[in-house]
Amino acid sequence: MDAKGIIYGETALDQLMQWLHASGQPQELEAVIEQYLQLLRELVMEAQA
Amino acid sequence: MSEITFVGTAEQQSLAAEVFRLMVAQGQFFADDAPIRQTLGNLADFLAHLHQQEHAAMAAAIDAAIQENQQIFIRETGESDVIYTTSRLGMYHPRQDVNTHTYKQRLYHPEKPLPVDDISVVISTSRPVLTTVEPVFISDYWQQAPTHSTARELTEREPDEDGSGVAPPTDIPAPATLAEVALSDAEAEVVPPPPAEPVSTVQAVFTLPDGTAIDLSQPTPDLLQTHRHALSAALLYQIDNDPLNRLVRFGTLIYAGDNLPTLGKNDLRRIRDDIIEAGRPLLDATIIDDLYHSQRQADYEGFRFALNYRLSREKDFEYVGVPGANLWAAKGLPAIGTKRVKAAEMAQLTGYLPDGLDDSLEDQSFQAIQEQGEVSRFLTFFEWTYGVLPFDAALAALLPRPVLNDQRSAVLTFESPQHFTSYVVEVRYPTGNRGGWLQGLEEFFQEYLVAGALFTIARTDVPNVFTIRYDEAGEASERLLTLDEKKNKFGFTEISYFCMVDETRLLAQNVYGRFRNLKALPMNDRRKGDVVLRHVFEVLGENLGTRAEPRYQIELDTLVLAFTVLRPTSRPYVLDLIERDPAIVVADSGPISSSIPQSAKRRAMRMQMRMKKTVPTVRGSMMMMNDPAYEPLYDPTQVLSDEELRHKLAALAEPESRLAKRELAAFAGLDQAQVQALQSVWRSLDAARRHECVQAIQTLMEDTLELDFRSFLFGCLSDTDEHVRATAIESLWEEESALMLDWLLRLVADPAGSVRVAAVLSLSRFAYRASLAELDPASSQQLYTVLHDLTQDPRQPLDVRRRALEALGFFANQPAVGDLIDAAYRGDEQSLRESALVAMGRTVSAEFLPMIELELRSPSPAMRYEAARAAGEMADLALPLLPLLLPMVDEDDLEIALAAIWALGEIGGQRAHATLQRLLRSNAPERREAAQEALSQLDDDA
Repeated sequence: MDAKGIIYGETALDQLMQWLHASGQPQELEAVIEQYLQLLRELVMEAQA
Repeated sequence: MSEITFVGTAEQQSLAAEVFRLMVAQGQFFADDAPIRQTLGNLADFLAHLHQQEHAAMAAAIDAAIQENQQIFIRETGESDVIYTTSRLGMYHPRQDVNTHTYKQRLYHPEKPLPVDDISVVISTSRPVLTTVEPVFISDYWQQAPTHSTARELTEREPDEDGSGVAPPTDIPAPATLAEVALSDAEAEVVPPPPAEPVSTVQAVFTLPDGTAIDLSQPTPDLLQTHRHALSAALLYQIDNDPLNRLVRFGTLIYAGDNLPTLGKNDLRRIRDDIIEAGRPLLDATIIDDLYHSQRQADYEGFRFALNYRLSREKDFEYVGVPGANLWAAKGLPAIGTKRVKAAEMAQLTGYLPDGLDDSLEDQSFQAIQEQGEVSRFLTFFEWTYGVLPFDAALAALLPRPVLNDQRSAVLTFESPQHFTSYVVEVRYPTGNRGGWLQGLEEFFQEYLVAGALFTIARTDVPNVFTIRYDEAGEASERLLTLDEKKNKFGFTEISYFCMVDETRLLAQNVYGRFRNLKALPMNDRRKGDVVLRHVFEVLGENLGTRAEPRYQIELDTLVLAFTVLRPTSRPYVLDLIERDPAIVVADSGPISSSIPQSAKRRAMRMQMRMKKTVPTVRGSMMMMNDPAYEPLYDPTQVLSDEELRHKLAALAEPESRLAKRELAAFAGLDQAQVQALQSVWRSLDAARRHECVQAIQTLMEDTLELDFRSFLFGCLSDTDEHVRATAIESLWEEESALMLDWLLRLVADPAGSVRVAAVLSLSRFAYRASLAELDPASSQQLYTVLHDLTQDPRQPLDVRRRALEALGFFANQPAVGDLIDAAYRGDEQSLRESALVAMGRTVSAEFLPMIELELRSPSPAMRYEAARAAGEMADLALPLLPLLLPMVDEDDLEIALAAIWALGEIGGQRAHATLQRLLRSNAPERREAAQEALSQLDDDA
């Protein structure tokens, strides 16, 4: 998708939840942001590809 | 994102855009695809007026511009005018009404799309309870509906080089879709726009709500380094405000909301019971270990998170943890630390810290404290008395920060490695303009330290555990300043200690004897720095002026030290108060004070405060010179009704409100009936607040002699609170009526010891009057009997017995008194022996002179002091004791020296006179002043 359409904290939240589920335990904010940025990046890159 | 571009010449583009803006404004509350219509005439009217042009020319220009932009506007020719139609999307596409099938058909399209075998199953007259949210199957039919972007941007395309560049809207529906739309006759003129071509590539930049642009083509570590705060704040905001709680957080820990193990009411009750049973806050891990040990091994971290998250949302639990140690307190847990100072009062007393008047980092920098993990400081009298420490910058550097945004306090454990003891300490974090503090160290301070002791708080490996230690020293014993809570007065008590101290901060009687004259002001007054400042000047300052127009002078170091007795403070705070008070002047700057080793930068400043006494006929209030705010407290012409008085009294109920002198003055001069009428309101006030009121009245009476609170205070003698009763007795110290005697004789049987002590002390005045035969014989005998019985009653506290013995000294004519005094003097109880000396003096009987003489040589400073006082009471009978008394005026112990000086003024004689004359030239202002008073006494006697 075009990054302009990203709503931070909303877009790809489902994937972020899945990642948290998979991790099996709560995560520190910094790790969550890192993962979230990675998810958003993948979304945008997929669209570009 | 939609971008609407206009074509034609630059002027036509501009005009078409203006028309479009007008029409969108007209239809701002319409649906995105709803038609917005406007006539050419209306548009021409408006725009011609706006641009000051001819109507016809404007109409022609509008029409030409619109016709150039038919991809946006539909042009229709009506009966009387041309009508343009558009929509907020940039083009109006008439809705295609499909009515070729029914609702039932749509529901079953495609065949049986719902995940149920029989549609009748879902038809019910009652709504089933939805325990969980299940995914709902949505027919493809509905998912095929076209979607519209609602985001639009209206931009004017820059004209091409030839000025007529044409570009279609980038986001408008594709021609293929438009072709399917059945147009009505009226809409036949619409010309579909040319096919949309992608004009932009996919962007990697998005924007946070605060406007921060995040470029995803940058590596994550770079993004975090640059925008960590913005990214964190935005995500936390989204999490906190997500109504679905898809993600939840506790502090900075985040988890999926649907992943949380549940905790029911029964769980919460068990957790609360567990905490209450422990009697102190418990770690989350301890709670799990106590209650869920067997069940929760597999998803331990998830369950721990759920526990913390759930408890943080329950009002019966309070988080008091620190990073790495999640502690939970529950409603009903006993309070930590002193109850003598309320939290609201401490918050105000430490309010100078958020104002930046904090010098705690003078000796150790913030960074040094963080690196070394320890803070060293000197204990002040206020801290020692109440077991509190201000949460200043030095402690903030050492102690953990709050985990949660709204966290009020944290509970730490302070361990003493020297004594193998530990203390539960509560950190109250600062909020707004209110300071923070630590409480719970009373026991440690009182047991092992004295004011002026150096101690160190240090971090340990456990985040909520700290150590507290001090440098040990050989035993020392001194008479040090203490606060007598019962009398609410300062005094000096013999105390042995084993810790290193800064001698300049040790409040020893021989150096700071006059500190006993400080008043233990109500906390409500202590929080007002200006009140404390003036009080210290008046009590400890050297009066360089006259009684009528005093001018006080005091050393800055003494001033600051006296502040530390009454409240938490800092040197910058005191200097700030001085700067704000126009009545105080800094007289000169001296050399660096050599007696204060910690602060080489300190300057020995001397300040003077001038005060003048007003000379009104009715009022005698002191006021500060240059104080424009002065107004009389008391207007004798003002008479308040019972209702007004009740209203005023009720207004005092709010614990936070200030007990203004003017408000309290309203209760002066009442009669018994008025006091009676106030009783119901008075009893509705909180006991602590009633006590504050009576204390404030006591202070007001001392400052403002003409105010008569006797009726009000008599009403307080039957108060349900013992502190109120005791303070009322003390406040009525001038009352010598039969009614007062009657009350006091009843109050010596009060259930509260503090009240009995206050009553017996007050009865001394009546015993004195009995010795002067000013009491009728019956009252005198009754008083003697009561006092005698009290001294012999072993159930009475020592304080009651000794004060009764002292009062009995005035009954020297009673045969038993001599024996009672003698027995007490020869006993083992030190305080009773001191009281025996007081009683000996009051008998004015030569039979006790040998004992007094002996005690003038006593190694005990307390006995020497009382012996000097007793000698003075004996007046000229004690002339033979002068050889012992004369050298005592030069004793290092100021209290003893002042007692000896006073005694010389009572005893008289040439040698006493000469000694007092010599003391007038003393460098010590206290001795000089005392000698002056003693000489005045000698003159009066002469």
